[in-house]
Amino acid sequence: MIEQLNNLKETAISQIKEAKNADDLEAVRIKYLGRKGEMAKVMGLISSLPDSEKPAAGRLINQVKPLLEEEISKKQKSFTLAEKQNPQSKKDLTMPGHRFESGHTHPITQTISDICAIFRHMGFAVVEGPEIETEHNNFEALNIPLNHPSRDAFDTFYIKNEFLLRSHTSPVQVRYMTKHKSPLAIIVPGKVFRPDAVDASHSFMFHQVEGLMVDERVSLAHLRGVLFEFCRQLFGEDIKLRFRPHFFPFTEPSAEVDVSCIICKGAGCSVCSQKGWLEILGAGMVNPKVFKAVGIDSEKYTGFAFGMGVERIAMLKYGINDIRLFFENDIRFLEQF
Amino acid sequence: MKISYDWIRKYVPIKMRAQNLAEKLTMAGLEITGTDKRGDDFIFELEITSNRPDWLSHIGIAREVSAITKKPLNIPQISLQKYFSADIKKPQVILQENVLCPRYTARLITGLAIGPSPKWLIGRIEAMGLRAVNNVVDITNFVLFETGQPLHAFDYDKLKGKKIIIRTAKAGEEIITIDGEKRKFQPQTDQPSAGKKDTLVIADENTPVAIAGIMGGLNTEVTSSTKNILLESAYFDPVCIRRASKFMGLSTDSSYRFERSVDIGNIINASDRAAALICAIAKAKTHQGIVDLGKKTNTPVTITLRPDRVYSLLGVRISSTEIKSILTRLGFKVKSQANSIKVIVPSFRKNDIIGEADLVEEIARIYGYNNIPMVMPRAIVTEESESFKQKNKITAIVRSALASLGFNEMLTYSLISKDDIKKLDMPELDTISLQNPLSEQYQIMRTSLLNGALKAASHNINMGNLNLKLFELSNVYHKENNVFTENMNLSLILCGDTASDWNKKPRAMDIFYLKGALTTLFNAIGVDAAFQELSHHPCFDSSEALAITAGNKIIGVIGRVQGAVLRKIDIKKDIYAAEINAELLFENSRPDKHFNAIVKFPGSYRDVSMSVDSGVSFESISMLIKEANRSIIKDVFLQEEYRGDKIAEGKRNLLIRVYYQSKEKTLAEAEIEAADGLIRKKLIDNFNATLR
Repeated sequence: MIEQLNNLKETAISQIKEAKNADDLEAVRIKYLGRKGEMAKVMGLISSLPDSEKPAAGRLINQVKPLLEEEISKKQKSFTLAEKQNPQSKKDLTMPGHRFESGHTHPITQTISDICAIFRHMGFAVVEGPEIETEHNNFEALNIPLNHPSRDAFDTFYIKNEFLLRSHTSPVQVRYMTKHKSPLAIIVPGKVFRPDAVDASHSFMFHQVEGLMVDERVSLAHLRGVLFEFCRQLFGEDIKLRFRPHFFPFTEPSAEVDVSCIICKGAGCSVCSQKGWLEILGAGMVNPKVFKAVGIDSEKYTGFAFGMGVERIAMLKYGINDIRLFFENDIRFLEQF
Repeated sequence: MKISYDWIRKYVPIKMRAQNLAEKLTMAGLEITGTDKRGDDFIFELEITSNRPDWLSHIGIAREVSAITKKPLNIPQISLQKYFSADIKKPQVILQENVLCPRYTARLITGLAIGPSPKWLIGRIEAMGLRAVNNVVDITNFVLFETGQPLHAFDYDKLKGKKIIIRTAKAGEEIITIDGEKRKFQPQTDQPSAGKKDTLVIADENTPVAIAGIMGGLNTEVTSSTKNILLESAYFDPVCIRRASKFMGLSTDSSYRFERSVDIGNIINASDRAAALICAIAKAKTHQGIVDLGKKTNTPVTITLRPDRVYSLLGVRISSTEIKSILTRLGFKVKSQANSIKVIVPSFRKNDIIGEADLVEEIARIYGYNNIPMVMPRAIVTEESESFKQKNKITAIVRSALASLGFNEMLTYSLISKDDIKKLDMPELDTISLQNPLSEQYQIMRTSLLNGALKAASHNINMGNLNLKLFELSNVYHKENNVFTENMNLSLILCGDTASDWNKKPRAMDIFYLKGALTTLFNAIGVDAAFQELSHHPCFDSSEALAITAGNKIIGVIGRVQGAVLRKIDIKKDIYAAEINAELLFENSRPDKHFNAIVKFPGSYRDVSMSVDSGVSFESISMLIKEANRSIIKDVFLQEEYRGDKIAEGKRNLLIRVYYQSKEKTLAEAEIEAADGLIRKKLIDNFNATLR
């Protein structure tokens, strides 16, 4: 028995040493240490030994088994080491990972979605309206009469008779207020059209987002609060806001809203024309004439409205210097967003 | 508009730096867009909103400066009396159009010594960017910039019949204006709406001598030999002037002010001011009084202002005392009443200040918008309509699904050209056309997104971006029985190869690639769609075009863009495209997911390799296989297709893998073998397939 064990040990060790690769070694391990291996067989014989030989055989088995395990482990390590040192089998991990195709939504879509998400959190509902509008909704109901210089700011594409391509998203205010009861808070994204010759900062088609809130005693202070919160969330915590009086026929009082330049933080740079401020919003309190046109009692309700150009915000946010890039659809542009 | 800082200081005693004043005015709504140093003076460039014609003058701006700085406003005193001469008779003026010209004044000034203006006057004129002409012309311009009232001086001796008639132009009449242009009067045909279509003119006995409020005539202009002038100061109807100016394409300092409305209460003052300066500088005389025709009375507008309303609109309490002080500084007259303030609007604000809200803006402007607190309103939860929420949800899934498949989203112009429609052989009948397009290139509202998609592809290919996967979700526009409709479509366009790298060879993207992308998209939004033969589409090659159907309707098309179209738009690569009516797509969408229990029992598969006639479609084979045993055949996949010279002509080889699985048990080998046998038999019987 003892002799048998010693022979087994010698053969096993020599086979371990002769193993040429990990697979050989694994075969040797199974042959000797496996569940039905040689060692197991020998151990099965112990019970048939006379009692006097049992302790010695047991001790020897207990020595051989760890010895073989250690030899196998050593050999294993030598393989791993050899593999590491062999440049032919070494993987070049500096090679690039596999390429996955990924598409991108348009930066205008992303910007609209960012803007709407902020207002949705404040309880505003997203509402849309048609791009082909009536002259009444686009102008008259918004206190922009025909042949009035206030129309100069709204050059418009006409289709025929009373129909036109909306020159702003404000007609959706008219549509919504006519059909829905106050209080209400809506946000309106969409395409608008103006006959501006195309250059780096003008486009005859662009996007706006319009907002409107109507409630009892909604005030300019609330408009300031909502727009500040919006700008803070869109541009960052350290943004500053500035309201300048302005004129819009559909709001009274009216304001233009500037944010501290997001490029230079107000120090003055080429983007803000050294002013430190960027104009990004038009806003104001809904003109009682507009309330009258849509049948809302302006003694009971007040409201504020605001509007912004999506391209302008996207250009500032992403540092894009030419509005035409949005509509050229060059994939080297689209893939950056 | 240009404003001289030095000139302003003639009316308001301020000492602050020009830059400070510019900042203060900007924050009060008078936006200063530029400041130029000119000698000791600063010239501000102002952007004045259309509601404030009263700001189109130095006195107007000075009034604002006075309100902001609380310094007094000193308007020049006029004394004309010393230039009166009893020998001079008032000129003859006939006002025929008292609607288009509500008020007209004229004064005769005689014995002029025309010559160059004094230095101070030349300085003022040049500061405004004009060239000094002679003392009389310079003074009328000076008074325009000082008071905002445009004036015109006619050479009195050149007026036929020595009279002025304010009338509309007759068709075919002509005038040579002081810029030397010959202009013919025509009825205004540029605006479809109702109303007067005539141009107002100032005429002598025979012919027009000025286009009213816009420009004077060359024949009666003041020259070095002029001895006597008729000085006009009038109020012309703003709409009348605006329409004529637009129609004739002629805009002047004068028309700019008249179309925004001048101060009807200042007409005589302005005339007096100019007359006094002319008499003093050109050593002339005038008659006492003035010819003043039309509406002389001017009822002031009175508004009741409630301080509580100021609070509810602004969200800040401003005391009645402060409200009154602000309004007074701006030229309003105020009177306290029980719970309100009675406000009388000065004539120079009567077009702009109509209601209480307008006064609230004035108060807020001077109080300072940025002194108003920022407060969050109470939350108003406005419900979005169910249909809109659903649409929004689906569009979001469509965008993210297509992006995850590697498609980039494009945005193309809604306006295209007639030529674009022709190139794609699309019907032109139901298109909407613009009345006033920018150019022919952007004249028609698109009826398909494919025009834009192909332009985007063409741009990219020209730029060397040869592998393209693009999509767009935007509106198309139609005219049906004279009703305009707009509808959202989805377009997809493919060109070139799939992305490749060291481990993956590029693969040409073809119609199956696009079909696969759409199938994935339809699964993502829960649309049960099928592809069917498409007999004809103007844009696609008939051998590679399919209709997409859902809910028994054709909802879109997919195909290879045909060579004839590609040649017209100069694309030399294969292009595959799809266009789907997004609204029909969404109608058929069931984006809400339901969980199906995972089948516990293992499945297995058998491959069937066959050779069949090329005309036998995969779809018919697949249907046949599924029908062999619907309860255990879970899926049928096409593994391989082979056509080519290694097999008989008119045949193709297909390798099809059939998946078997039961929800109730582990399938016995015999059951699968039986089904496999049946499938093979059916394939031979029905399609004459050769099995291998």
